[in-house]
Amino acid sequence: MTITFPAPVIEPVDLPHPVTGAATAPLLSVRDLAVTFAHHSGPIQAVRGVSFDIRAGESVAIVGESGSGKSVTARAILGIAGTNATVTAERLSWGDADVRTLTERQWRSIRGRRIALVLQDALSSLDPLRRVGAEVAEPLAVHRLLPRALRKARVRELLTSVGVPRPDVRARQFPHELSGGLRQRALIASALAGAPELVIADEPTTALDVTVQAQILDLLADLKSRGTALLVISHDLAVVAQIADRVLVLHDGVVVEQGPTQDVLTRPQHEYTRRLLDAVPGPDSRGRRLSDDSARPHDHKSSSSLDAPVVLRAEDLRKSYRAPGGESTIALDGVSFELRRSEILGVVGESGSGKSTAARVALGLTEPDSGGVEFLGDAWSGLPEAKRRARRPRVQHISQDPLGSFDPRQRAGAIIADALARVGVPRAERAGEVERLLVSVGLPPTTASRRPASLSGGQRQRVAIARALATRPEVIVCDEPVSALDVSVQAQVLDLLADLRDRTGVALLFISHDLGVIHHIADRVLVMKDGRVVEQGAVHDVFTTPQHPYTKQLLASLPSLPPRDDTSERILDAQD
Amino acid sequence: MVTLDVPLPRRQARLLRTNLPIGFIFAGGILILLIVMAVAPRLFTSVDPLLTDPLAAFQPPSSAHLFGTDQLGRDQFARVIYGAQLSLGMGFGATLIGLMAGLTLGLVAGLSRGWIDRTLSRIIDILYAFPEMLLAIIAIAVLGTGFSTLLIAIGIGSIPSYARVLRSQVLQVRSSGYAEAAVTLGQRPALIAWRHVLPNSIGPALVLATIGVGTAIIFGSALSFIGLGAQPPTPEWGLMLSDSRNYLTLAPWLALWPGVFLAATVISVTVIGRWLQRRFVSSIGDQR
Repeated sequence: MTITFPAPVIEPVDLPHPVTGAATAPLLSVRDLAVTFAHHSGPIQAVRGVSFDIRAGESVAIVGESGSGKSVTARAILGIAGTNATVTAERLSWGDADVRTLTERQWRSIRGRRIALVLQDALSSLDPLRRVGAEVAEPLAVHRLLPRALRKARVRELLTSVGVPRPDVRARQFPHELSGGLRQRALIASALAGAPELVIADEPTTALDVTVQAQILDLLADLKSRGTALLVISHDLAVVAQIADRVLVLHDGVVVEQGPTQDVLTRPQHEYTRRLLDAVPGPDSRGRRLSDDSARPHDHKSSSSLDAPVVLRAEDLRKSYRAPGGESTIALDGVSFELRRSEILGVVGESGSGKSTAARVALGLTEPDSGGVEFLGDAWSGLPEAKRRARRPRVQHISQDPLGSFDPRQRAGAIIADALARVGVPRAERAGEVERLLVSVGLPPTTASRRPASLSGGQRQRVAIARALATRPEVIVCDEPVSALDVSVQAQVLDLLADLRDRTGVALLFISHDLGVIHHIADRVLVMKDGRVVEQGAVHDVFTTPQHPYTKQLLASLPSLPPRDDTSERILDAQD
Repeated sequence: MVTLDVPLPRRQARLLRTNLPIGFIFAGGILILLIVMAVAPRLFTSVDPLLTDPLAAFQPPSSAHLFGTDQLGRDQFARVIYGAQLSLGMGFGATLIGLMAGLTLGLVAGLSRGWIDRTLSRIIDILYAFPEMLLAIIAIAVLGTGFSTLLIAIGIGSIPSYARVLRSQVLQVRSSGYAEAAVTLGQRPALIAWRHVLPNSIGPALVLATIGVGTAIIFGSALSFIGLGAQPPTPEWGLMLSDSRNYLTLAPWLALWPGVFLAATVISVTVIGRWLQRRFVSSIGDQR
């Protein structure tokens, strides 16, 4: 297969305005943008050759994985790339003005007023010491758009327009008193206060639950229909499919492909785009590998797992935590499940649904208030630690934050060797066994001498998996094991976990907020909400014919990719 | 996946690239000089610091007696040089005693839940409530004077701060992902404490101890000054200051040099400690 590189740049033509129907000049025009950072080892080019236009009422998305330069591009457009960055462009114009010649003072009259930025992490983007109302009103005050007396009413309007209930109460609260979704809305309200013509949203929904994400995406779509231009930076192709008219796929600082979203996502031309799309887990990816082109299925026959013996059984688990205020929050409210040998049991739910508490109880790290867990038919919960210790190596854990689960003083090899020592592998055999485990999770043996902090996110998670495997466990509890990873790395780790299950027959309790991941990998699924299991069953049944309204709502909120037109071609490619 | 097998000479690079602040380099130089003085005072002077010469009393600084002589005609230069031994010994010795006791208390309190932690924490609180000087004087009143008593007396006052710092670190490390990972492996609590908890929580206490050395030197000299520390005729800076105060109008140089050396020692130790603190403690959380 030949790859044309760079992908043909779609030269902008004067398209009719989606709202007014009239042809309009672009609001923002970027040609051949490059950003270079000064570094003591020499200049580092973060981005090059980025060209696109945005008109009023249009939305353009920049998609890429971490390090692709997508956020740098957004910052360069806003003139905030940093003091050690050199931004060059053949053209970088805002309306009629050439932004390359703007002074800092002129920039300030544009930022927040005509171009607004919405960042991912609303908690750290909002000043913790200022009330939400003051934060929302800031552009009004800074740009002297509205006299003080009228601001309060405007803040209420803005908060109402982004769907914040009880805006008067919320405006008096501090950011930490708001939920993640409300904070993100407040941040958007603040961005909208100056009535900007362009909103740049950098991963606007990444930290949010799916149902909240759906609301924020609706909000952004609504903005667009009212004539605001959107530049969305995201790693999530499904989100982009939902919201963008055009998309730029960025890889290692280079635009590998760009064009209308529908075209790029259904008929990707560049191999990287294809790989990225293949890596997205979901209903269509079940039974195939995510990280390589081949449609080679996993060997697992999931139908047989219902006859397999139960390894972990949870009966009517209840757990509540006392909050500092004296109220108690119920984390688990009558949760029961069975995990069979060689099975992947998915637990899906939004934040606060109790899924992590369920994981901790299954691990024997948290005792339930009532109910109990049995491991291989013997009591596992409600025991003094000493009675559990001997069996602990057989129930292992993979967490979302592998780095935090490694002693910062140890190297990767020592971390795994500790686990081997625990199950009595003689000292002389440990080095060889560490090597074998590293290779089995797809890492070179030399990884043993590396410090976890110097490894990439995917490598760290592989080391964590190798450690979990070292004790030859019956059960591995995976708590959001791929949430912190890029989609292509996530694909590799999911493939690895599925392979390991097939190879070793280990049972996985797989906790995730990502329905696509669960749909891809799990055999059965528990859907949790407010500490209860609202629905459970075989993944296919639950996700295609959901019974509970909450499951239906979750699935409806999930942004999805348009079906591919190039699948036949891909299968042909794979057969070559 | 691309795996990078580039060797990381980061540690070497960090040592070679001296972006150390000038104050740190200066303080380090002074401290090294003081340590050499303490270890080998004969390199600097061949005069016996205890040798009296009544005929040569109160001589101003000259080429024969660089810092002059005191009321008994002892060479002040030799006495200041030999004083480094006692001051540094006191500073490091007392800090070591305080640190050991503090670490033990803090570790036990942090590792045990329930009544043991509560009892130890209250004891630490009570110790904290007394001024360090008062604790030191009480200890001397009970144990009598003497060098080892002095070390214990000064050390006692610093126990609660080390214990508290270590306890809070232990609590933090105990709830960390890697301590939990060790529990999940079924490791014994003693092994977890020894291999994971102690090494990862001791850093801030050690840094605090470098600053503590300066404080301990001041305390030792202060105790000597009020007559509870080193006894005459020991060449000790605090004691020398105390002696000189009766002759301030007659021989001001007697007060000057012990004071200058005492201040220089404490300042350099503290500068180094503060630097270590900024360098390591504030970033302990993300040093992983």
